[in-house]
Amino acid sequence: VNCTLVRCLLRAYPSAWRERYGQEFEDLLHADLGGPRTVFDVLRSALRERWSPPPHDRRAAADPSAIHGSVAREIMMSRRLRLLMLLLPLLLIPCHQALAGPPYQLDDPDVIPYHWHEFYVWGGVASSPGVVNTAGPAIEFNWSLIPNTMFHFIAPLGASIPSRGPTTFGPTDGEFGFQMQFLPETKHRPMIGTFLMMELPWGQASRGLGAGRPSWKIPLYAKKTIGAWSIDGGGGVNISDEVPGGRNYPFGGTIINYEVSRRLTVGPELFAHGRSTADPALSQYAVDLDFGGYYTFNPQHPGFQFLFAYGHSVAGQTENYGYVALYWTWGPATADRSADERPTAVDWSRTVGTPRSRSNL
Amino acid sequence: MIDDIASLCGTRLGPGTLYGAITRLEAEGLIEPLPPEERRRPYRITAAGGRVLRAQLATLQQFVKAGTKRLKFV
Repeated sequence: VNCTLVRCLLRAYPSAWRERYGQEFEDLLHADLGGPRTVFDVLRSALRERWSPPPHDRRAAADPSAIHGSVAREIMMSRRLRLLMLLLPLLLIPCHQALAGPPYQLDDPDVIPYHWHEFYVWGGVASSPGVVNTAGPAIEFNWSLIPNTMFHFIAPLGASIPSRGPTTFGPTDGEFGFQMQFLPETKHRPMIGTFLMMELPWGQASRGLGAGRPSWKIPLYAKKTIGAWSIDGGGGVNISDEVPGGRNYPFGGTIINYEVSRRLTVGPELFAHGRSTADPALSQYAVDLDFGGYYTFNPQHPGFQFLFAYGHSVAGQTENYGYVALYWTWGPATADRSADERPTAVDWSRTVGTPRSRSNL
Repeated sequence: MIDDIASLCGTRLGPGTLYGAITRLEAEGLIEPLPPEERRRPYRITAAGGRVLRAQLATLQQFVKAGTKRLKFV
């Protein structure tokens, strides 16, 4: 049993790490494989190696003042990360960067019906070179106060886990948005709309939990449903030149979703963004390939779903993206359908839309 | 190494935490591996590591000195 467990634990680490340390680490585990605490310690470390591997530029050797004590930091991070790991399955999501739509990074023009509401409890994680940002527990609330529009609000807790420096946890930047559908979908035309966003700088920038200044997102989206397939695409510009060290940058992408069954819809996303910092050494463009979807617990009551996504960069700087959420939507009966008559998931998605996109982190 | 650290500072590191630190220290060029000695996998501090450690200890010494001095007024 121990041999199998050790092999499983080793597989949690990235292959490059295993090539370098695998043999000696395996020997150590065989000699000192304790109880659940050890297993948890190893899984936590493996996760960190995957999400935030150390830089291999040896800059520290040339600049000793940059070192903050790797060993001490490892020990101090253990307790905090232990708590985060406990919350990980339900509570995670990224900060500061353009992380958006449930469960994807891109938003869409699909507006919920007039006077309907959406509520998410969500979490996620996003990593880029030198830092892992998590968010969770976080809430999102959307409300259609005016026909064909929706107000959007996010309030997250989160953590910043830099590869150098202390881990911090607390309230991170919030988000306020306004979605508007300009054109509804017809047989030959996609729906077209926008989802304006303002990032609210609530998080403490000095602790790495916020941008310090507000930023805005101005996009244009289109979405078309063809049978069990839906295609969403668009992009825009992120106005973040007021953020210290920030710059305006473009973003965009596309999502293809397929309704596998009345319970499950899945699909890939290709999402790209430009360099977000004035200093090219701090960030670069990236193209992420994500895979996600949503699961309806009861097709007879599709207003309650589980959302999930995971992605990794395929070009540009190395990034990871993960997202999970529980989603509820409710509202008054629409003109052509009562609230308790939502027979199929396909009809549901066409009527009230798929889980909303949002961008935060 | 785990036992050594436990006796030195009273904290027993898990294997993952220990190798997380080793990975970063080696990536930063502060330690380097030595040839294995049977089942032991020794590492030694590098010249750069020595410089960093001296700087860290000097900072800690100043911290201890200042703290001890202020404690006299408590």
